[in-house]
Amino acid sequence: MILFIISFSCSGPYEGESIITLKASLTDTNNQPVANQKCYIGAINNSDDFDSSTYNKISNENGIIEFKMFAPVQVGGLHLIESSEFLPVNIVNLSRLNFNNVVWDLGNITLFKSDEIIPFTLFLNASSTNKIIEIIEVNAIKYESRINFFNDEFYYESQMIYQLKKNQNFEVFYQLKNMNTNEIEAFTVQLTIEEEPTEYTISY
Amino acid sequence: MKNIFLFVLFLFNSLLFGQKHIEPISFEKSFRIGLQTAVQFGNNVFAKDFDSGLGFNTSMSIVKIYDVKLTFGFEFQRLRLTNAETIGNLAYIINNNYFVMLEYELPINDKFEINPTLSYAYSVMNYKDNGSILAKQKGNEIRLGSYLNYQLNKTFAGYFGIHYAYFFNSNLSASSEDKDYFGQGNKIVFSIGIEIL
Repeated sequence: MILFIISFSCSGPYEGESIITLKASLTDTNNQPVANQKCYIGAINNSDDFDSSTYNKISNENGIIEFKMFAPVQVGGLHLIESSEFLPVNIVNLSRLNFNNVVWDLGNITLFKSDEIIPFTLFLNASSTNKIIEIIEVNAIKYESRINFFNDEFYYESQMIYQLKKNQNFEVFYQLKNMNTNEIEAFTVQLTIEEEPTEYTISY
Repeated sequence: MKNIFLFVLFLFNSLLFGQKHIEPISFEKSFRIGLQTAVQFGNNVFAKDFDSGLGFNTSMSIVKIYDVKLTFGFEFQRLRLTNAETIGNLAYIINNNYFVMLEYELPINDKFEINPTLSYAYSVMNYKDNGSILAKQKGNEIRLGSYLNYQLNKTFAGYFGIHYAYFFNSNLSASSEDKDYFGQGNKIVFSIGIEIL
């Protein structure tokens, strides 16, 4: 009876009835494949069962990292460990809600070196009482140490710092909403960043 | 698989009604406990990427209908990982089977008896690292084979068993190639132990 109970408790951080292939393609900022990059999968379930040792490997000579694995019960993450060359990247919130088949293709992930990036600070200056900022997008080649795959973060702070690749033209897109009239205004600002930190203020 | 199943049913039917004096229902208890190991084969993860170690089995029969015993039992089998590239760097699988079995009593002489069996098991596979369960699978197992019993005295008999088992998991969500590789298995189970009559 005890053995019967034990075998039906504690199911673990992975779903044993679901086998997936999780893959990504790693390149540097010159679009060259990054080989031998150490990666691991982290997974957690509702009972806080956590694992980070079952799935770990290095990218092959074509920069491809591929895991044949049990799907995370709740959420998982692909973690690219900091190396002597490249900054770490953590792609989180991977779950069966984001994918509708057995191949979880994360696409291309660009790895950055620390001397390739420079800060860009975006300030929000809200002087209007009836307008809110709904969307902000910094469309640039940028380094993110944490990529939220589910992308449900809509909270914007008054000061946000982005790590952009040096020497590029980029744009900031933002959208305002008038809470009294429901009118939407969209703006696109063209900017340039070179070798020095850059700032921009959105006033509304 | 289906043909083998039908053949066995036919065999049981012939044996049952080929005899002149058949006992009706009787409530004779018997209890088996023993050790086992398995040889996995075929193109599947259990045969290619794991090794079977020593296992344990126990069963109890409480009713016999016309020389066919109805038996319930539990089996524990450990499989050790030999290839971490396939489904991760886990350590082993604990396979727990909860089975119901039909056993026919076929005496050879005063000492020896053969028990052909047909069973169905609810199979639980716990994939584990060295401490915790990482993932759990549930499947089914059909098993066909026989025990050879040697009567030691009025109460105890030694047994040796050899059984073919087919495992399948029809709930597995995977590519068709992975369903074939991870969702089924074949094995021969060798067991030895004591039956208490």
